[in-house]
Amino acid sequence: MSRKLFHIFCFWISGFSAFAQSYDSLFTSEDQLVSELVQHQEINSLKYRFLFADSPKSIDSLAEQGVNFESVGSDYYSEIFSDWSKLDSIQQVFQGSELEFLIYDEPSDFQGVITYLETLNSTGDFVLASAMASSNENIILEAVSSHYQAQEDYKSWLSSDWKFSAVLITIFLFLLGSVGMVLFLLILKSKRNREEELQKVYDELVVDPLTSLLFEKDLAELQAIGSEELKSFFPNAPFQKPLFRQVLINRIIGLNKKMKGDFKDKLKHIYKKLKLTDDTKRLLGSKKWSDVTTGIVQVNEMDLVEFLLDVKKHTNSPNFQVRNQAGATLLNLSENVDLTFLKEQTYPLSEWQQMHYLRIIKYVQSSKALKISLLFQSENQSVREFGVKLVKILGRLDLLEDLRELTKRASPEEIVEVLNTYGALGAHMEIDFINSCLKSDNSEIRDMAISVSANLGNEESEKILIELLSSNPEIPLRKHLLSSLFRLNQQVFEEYITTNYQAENQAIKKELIDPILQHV
Amino acid sequence: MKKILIIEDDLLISSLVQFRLKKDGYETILVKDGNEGIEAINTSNPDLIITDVMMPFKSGIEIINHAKRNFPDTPIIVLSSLGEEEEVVLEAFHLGVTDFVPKPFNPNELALRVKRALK
Repeated sequence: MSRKLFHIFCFWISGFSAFAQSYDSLFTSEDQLVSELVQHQEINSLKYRFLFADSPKSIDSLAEQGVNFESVGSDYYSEIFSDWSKLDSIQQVFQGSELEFLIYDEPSDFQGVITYLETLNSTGDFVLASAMASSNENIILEAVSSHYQAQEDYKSWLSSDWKFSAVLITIFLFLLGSVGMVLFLLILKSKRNREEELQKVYDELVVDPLTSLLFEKDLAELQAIGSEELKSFFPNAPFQKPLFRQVLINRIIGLNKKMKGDFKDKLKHIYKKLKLTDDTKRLLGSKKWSDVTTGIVQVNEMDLVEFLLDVKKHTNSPNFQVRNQAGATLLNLSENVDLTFLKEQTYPLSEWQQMHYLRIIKYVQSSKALKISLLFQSENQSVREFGVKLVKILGRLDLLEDLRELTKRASPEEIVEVLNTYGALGAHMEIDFINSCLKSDNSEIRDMAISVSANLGNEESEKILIELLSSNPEIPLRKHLLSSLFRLNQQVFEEYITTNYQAENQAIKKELIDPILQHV
Repeated sequence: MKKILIIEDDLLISSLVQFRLKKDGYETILVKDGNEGIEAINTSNPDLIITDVMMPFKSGIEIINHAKRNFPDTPIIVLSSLGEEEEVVLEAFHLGVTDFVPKPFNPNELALRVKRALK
């Protein structure tokens, strides 16, 4: 619609200058115009029809041939045609008629058509037939004379947008990874299922031979049996498989934990005679920490003392489980364990590890010559602290001298532990050290010394406690000091309270002497 | 021949106990979990029950409860680890079990306890 308006506008504007430019006109006569028009099929909004001012007879004969007419007054108009190439043939049919041009379905004269065509020509919507032919020829000639060269290299839709490609590749990789992972899990699961099924089968295979060996043979008989003969109790083919031997080892160790008496000796003997120790040795040399730990547990459970040197290599392993099990095994099995392995441990001992070792040490200390004092020489603070705790828990008064030496180079944490040990063992001879700690700037050392002085303190301790009280400390510390003084010497305590009659002191005293509140 | 029901989820332990008791001429029935245990008590009417405490599906306590309600005269020996389940074992004694054999155990000692319980 806007294009149509534009053409009308241009047509009227150019109409005023049409005469002035007649020397430039495309067509000088109507014949020239018609001969041009017949070379085109349709021209934008330029149509034609025929006007009859003839006798009705001629019209009737044409109407019989299927030509439609419209009667306007005494004239007859043919239907409107738009195909200019058929003008000649139609004109032959409509002989005696007059050609009428229609622009936008409105009648127009020769000059109007020329102006309209010039307007179309200027906008490129109408090209003279001769110009069209020559331009077509020029284009072909140009194309022949110059080689084709693409303006841009060919790019696929994938490579033209790198962001889209990156997203697509990421999604693809993700899907590939997911599928791979699912496949991996399925394979792993099926492998594990197969292994579990085999374990059940092997479990049943080991029951009868083990049961009969344990009940039908006594220890002497088992010792007399050769290795190969003992193996013959078990099915030969599965015995060659590592999984079968692993099941057998687990069953023997499981039984060893649940049985008492000579059955334990029999199981250990069977373990060694079946050369399951080879599997244990292999595990001890493995690079996987889980295998090494399993191997150490086997050594521990089956008392395989011949592997203690291999176990000792793992006492300073970076892996907690490995070094913990190795330490426990050495403590359990070694005849001449002297705690050197613990002294040389570079990794800190955890609370759990200390508890584990303590349980074993408590059990074996009576039968083995444990050199706890070695631990005080360790470079590892946690090992030295553990040594101090051992002195306290095992009640090793003979090591107080070593503790005294230790305090000369000890860290605050160790001093706290030493003070605690002195308190637990009632080490009165160390009162000078305790008194010196009462004056410490370190609040943890001072607090522990205050606690210990309640039982071990002397007159010097009383003086220091009062000195500390005179500095008007915070209520918790004041209560701690007064509590120690009260337990150390009630008379001195009363004197202090009387001379320092403060509300807080009175409240603390009330609580200390109250049989119920003193424990709150 | 006296019939002994052994309820134990560890196949090797139950096989060992079975082997030892068969040597003494007892007939044994072996089941591996609590459900099978209750069913076996109902169907086989054993002369003595040996049971573990911690088992799949139904615990030893439930088995003892069931046996004492339905067969109050059948002696029961609990074969379990005292250290791990002290409260449970005490409960078992309250329910009226005949004896308790802690793990680790000696099968010969268990055989003697079975003999005494069946007298």
